[in-house]
Amino acid sequence: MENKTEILRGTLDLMVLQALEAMGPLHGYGIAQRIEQISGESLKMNQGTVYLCLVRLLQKRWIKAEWGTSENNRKARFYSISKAGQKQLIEETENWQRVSGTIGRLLRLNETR
Amino acid sequence: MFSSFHRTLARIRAVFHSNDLDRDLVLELESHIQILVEQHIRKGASREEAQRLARIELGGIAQLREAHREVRALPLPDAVLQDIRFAFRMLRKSPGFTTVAVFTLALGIGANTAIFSLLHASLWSPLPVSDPKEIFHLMRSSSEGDFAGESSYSYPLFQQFSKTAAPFGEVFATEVVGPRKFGLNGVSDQRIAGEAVSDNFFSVLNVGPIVGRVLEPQDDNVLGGNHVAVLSYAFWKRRFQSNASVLGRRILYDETPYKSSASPGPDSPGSIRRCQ
Repeated sequence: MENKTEILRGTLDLMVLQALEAMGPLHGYGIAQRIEQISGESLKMNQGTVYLCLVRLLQKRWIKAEWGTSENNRKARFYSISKAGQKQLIEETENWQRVSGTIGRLLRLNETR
Repeated sequence: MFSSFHRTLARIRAVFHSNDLDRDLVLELESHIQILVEQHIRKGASREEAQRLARIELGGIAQLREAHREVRALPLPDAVLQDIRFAFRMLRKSPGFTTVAVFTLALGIGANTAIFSLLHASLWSPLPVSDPKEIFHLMRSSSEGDFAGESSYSYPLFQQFSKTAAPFGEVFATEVVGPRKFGLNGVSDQRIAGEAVSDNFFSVLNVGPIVGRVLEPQDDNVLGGNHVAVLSYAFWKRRFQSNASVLGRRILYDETPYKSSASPGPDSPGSIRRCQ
């Protein structure tokens, strides 16, 4: 992949929103963990990248953040999805499915030729 | 799109809270590393090895802090400069568009400047007299008849005005005279615009002379007035090089011989018609 981060920017937003929607409030580590679990080896990234995505989502008010205490008794910031974020997630999911469906059909078309 | 609006606001705010936000991030990253280290230790790694692995998984903290600052705050000045350079490159690429755009802007700015300097001179800057707010321009308010909206009056009417107004203030009369022949020694050599005024013009406006005198009641004691002229400062300076020897000389104005008097102060009113 030529420019991994460029692709990551859009998809990572979607993945973080999805993780928060599915799991409820999570801290940065939890989100990174969840994304790694789901994507496996196909999306190798530094876990720190998640924080760049989180600040962007916070600024857009798609997620909220609150300081709390983690399971190992450390100060941690817990993120949760907002109403606007849920709306965005639905929109983006539809968008993503439409695009990937189109690309998929296009690629299959080329295969059968 | 509300989200991009919120984001821009947040980025502007972030510029002022950079230290707080940076401290928050460092706290988060530290606790993240701690969790990773504990996990690796549980899997059997030594503390050093666990810390090394955790750093690799998270990525460089210094780079993350730098990237985080770029994402959360406004673009750095460097990036702004780059944008400006890019804008100029694009402008150079399409000279036609650039010319039209620059010309439009220039015209717009020029027209506004012209209008506002005109308004400034005619409406906003106070008249160079002692009490500009106390001056009123008499005008007929009726919208019908031969004199509708006019502000010219017969001399007898002016005299009546003066008498009626006496308890409240003074009335002076003025009439703009278009460019007329002007010269010395009975020979005209240029055309000059003037103003015919009543004797109390200068005393009411409280404008005095630089040299000589201004009009006095005895200048106006015959119908039509004695032929006495007061030169404006600008004209005195331009035509007579501010020379006082012109005082008392006979001048020709509008084919009528006048006796020249003095010039009022440098910022004497050009025309009293400017007041309301």
